[in-house]
Amino acid sequence: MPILRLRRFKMWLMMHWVKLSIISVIVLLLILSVWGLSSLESFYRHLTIAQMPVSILMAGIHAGIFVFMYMTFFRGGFAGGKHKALKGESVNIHWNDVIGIDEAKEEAWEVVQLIRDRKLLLKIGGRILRGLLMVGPPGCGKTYLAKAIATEAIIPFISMSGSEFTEIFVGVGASRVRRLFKKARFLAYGYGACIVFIDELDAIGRKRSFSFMGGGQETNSTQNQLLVEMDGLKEKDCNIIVIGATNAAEGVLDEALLRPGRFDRKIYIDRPSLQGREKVFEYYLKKIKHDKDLDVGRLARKAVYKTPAEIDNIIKEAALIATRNKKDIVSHKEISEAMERIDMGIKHKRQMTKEEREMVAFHETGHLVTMYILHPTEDVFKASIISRKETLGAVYGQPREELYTRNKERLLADIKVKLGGYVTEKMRFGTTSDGVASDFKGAMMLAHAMVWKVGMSEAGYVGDYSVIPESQLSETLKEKLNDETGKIINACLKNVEELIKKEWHIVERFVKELLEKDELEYDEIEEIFKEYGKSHYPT
Amino acid sequence: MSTCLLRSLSIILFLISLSSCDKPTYSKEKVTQSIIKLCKDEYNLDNVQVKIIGSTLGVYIPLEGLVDSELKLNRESGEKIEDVALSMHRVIMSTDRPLKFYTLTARDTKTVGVEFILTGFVYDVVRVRLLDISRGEYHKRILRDFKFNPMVAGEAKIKELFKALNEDSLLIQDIKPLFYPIYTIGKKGSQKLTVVDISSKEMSDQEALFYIKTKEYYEPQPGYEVYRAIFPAGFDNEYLILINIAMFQNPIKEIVPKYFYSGAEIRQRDLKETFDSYKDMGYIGIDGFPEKDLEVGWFISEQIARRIKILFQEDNALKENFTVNTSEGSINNGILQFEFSITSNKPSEKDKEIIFSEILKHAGKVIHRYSFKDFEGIEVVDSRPKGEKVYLSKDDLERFRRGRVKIQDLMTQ
Repeated sequence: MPILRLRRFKMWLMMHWVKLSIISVIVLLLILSVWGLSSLESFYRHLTIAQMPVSILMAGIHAGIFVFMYMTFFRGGFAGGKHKALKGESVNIHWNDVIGIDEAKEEAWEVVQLIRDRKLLLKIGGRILRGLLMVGPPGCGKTYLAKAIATEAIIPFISMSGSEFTEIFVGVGASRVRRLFKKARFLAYGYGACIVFIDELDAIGRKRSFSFMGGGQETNSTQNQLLVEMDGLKEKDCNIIVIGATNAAEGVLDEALLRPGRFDRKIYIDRPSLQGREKVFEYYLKKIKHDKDLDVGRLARKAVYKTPAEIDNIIKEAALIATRNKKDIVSHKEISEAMERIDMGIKHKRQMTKEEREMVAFHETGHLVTMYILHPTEDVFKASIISRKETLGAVYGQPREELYTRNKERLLADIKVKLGGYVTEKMRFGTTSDGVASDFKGAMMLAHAMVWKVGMSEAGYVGDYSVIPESQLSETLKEKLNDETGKIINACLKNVEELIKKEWHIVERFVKELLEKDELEYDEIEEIFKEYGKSHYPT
Repeated sequence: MSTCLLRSLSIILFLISLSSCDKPTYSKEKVTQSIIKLCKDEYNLDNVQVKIIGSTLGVYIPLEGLVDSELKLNRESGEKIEDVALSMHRVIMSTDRPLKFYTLTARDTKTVGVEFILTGFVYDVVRVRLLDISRGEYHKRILRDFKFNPMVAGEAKIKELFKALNEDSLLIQDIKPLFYPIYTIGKKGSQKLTVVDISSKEMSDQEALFYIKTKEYYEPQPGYEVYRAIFPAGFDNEYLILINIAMFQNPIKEIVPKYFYSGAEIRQRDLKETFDSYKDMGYIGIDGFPEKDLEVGWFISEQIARRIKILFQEDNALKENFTVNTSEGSINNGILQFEFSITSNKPSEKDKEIIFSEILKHAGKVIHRYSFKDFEGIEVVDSRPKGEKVYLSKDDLERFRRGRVKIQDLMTQ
């Protein structure tokens, strides 16, 4: 330990020798100035002192101009020196704080063990871990996990974003990479190891491009320097672990970065599962005053596909709404409102005629009833005839659970839901509006994909016909495939018409409710359906 | 970062303020000693004398060989004068004594009567150091006199004269009777005159008047014993002697004894009263120090008179057309008076206007630069026969300076 302390002191001296020299020179100059001043005759002393404020000001201005010019032209701007290092214990993100991504955590724990048992690993002759790549959608806790690794391994942590390396001047990014690793080496020398975390790695790690016009040279040179630095992390010299994080697909990154010896390990950090979301809700709800009867499971189910960052945002927004409504605690209502606000945007009440409003209500009710009764995987959690963004009304569906594939039934249900608005409008008014355009577009795309791409037509056309160049497809085949697409649409349309006709009384009830209340919540919708003895499509 | 910067700045300012929290370098009690010490320690000049008269600082240094054989200022002596001036400037700038003027007098001990005098305003010294005025302007503000002082030279001549009288030199046999009554009633070779006191006045650049008190001893000639009753041995006598140093061979122009024989009786004159009635043209006494505390009005009038001379000598256009014979300034009863004699080299109708205009313009400028307010008006007089005179009140002078009054309007008044 004394050796490590001595090393840290030496490291501190090495890192701060410029500052120390400057301070020493300033102190010396100060002493000399005071001594010189006191040796002057009173007139000249007073004269010097009187001129001092202006002198200091001028010196300050000159120094400022010099520093600005230097930083701008030679160091690539002031952003160059912002990679501040934190000691492992100062990072203060503990393992238990990382929630909702248990699988990723398990993999990351191995990394922690590897860092901790480096000596043991060296003894055995194992290969030291140099790089760890975290891939996953934004907001899933990549940075959080990296910090937790630093805390658990008790080593310093330097964080920089990939975008911080990029500049218009060629060579600036490379120099920043050099400085980053120089600092990391210092810290590794003093503390035994160091984590360099590069967020948004794709900003500098994209596949290198070569252009005769010289474009992309800066990114190339930055990436080259990163490759060189990662190669230079000789196992015996320093223990630096580079953790990169990106939400870009793995294929986007340059292959050189991904080869063994650089980013050896890859951890995929996905959106949390239902259990994960429950934990995330529990974690963030602890930070605010909330209704003790809140059903976390229900919230988690409602927040399908939400990342931990989004859930954090929902809770914060809910707290804001509660404050605005002068409530002491956050209840389900506030959280629900926060979700809507985040997902759907702010309400924007447009003045509509009675007829138009009625048409919108029928249209949305068509979607609602179709989704509730015919859709195998989605719940209706809200229906609204309040305009938001570009829409005049909407029905918000939510998957009951994470589903990563869509089967034929689900795709057909999606088409039917989309056609529900058209059918209801036509049945009620005998005419339809252009509000169906986006629905038709979606329905047609789905039907087309079913026939052309995934072999779901009734006629049994199997294969992805879209990969065949159009010129090589016979007109007959194209006609047949298109006929199949039309059949799907027509079949769905017929199905929906039958349903709407059959459940017209429910439709009218929902229209009435919507016209009265503008919006219907999940609970209200459930209740009305129960009233009519209707339940979800059996899953 | 900003806290650190603020902290450093406050430490610097604190330390600086500490260094300025002391007394002036030269305390008011030790001004004279300080100048003497500085001259001695730094320039090895140990014969500097200093005297303070009111708010005027007088510095005197006798120098052997102030002038060379061509009567020009000796280079070495010039350097010594500069050293003394620098020492004096250092002290007057860093003392808490409220000094207004300084004079520096250097006199030649070899060529008696030659002297160099610098007279200046203390605030001008400060201003030139602060670059508030240029060095050129500063030099114009100093009164520089390099001359043969008739008082100093005359006093030496008088001492020589009395020595010659006591030695009964052949050279002064002709003027002996002027020293009445001792050479009239005394036995030849028995006369002894002891100079008790000499007072002097500078009458002009060349003339000086001396008032001398003596004690006289003699043995009466046979037949004059009765005079012992009136003039006992060691009786007090007085003389007024006028010296003109321009008369190299015999500078004694006039000797007036207190006693004189007229109408068969011995009469006496009040020489003290006569001496006092003359105005002293000089301001430096025989000891090398100012005779009295100098005043701003006097200083400005002297300066303007000299600057007028310089103006007509240095300005190309004026130099070509005019010659300055005399230019004198004074202040009397709050009126700044300037008498000049400027002749035209190429006479024209506009000459008078140009001369008066330039003088008034210059005077107004100097007065304004000194912010001098303690005067009633200004009188500019052409001292030549039939010369004109212009008087301007203080306000009129300011209006003229600002160009609101034209010289033509003033000349017709």
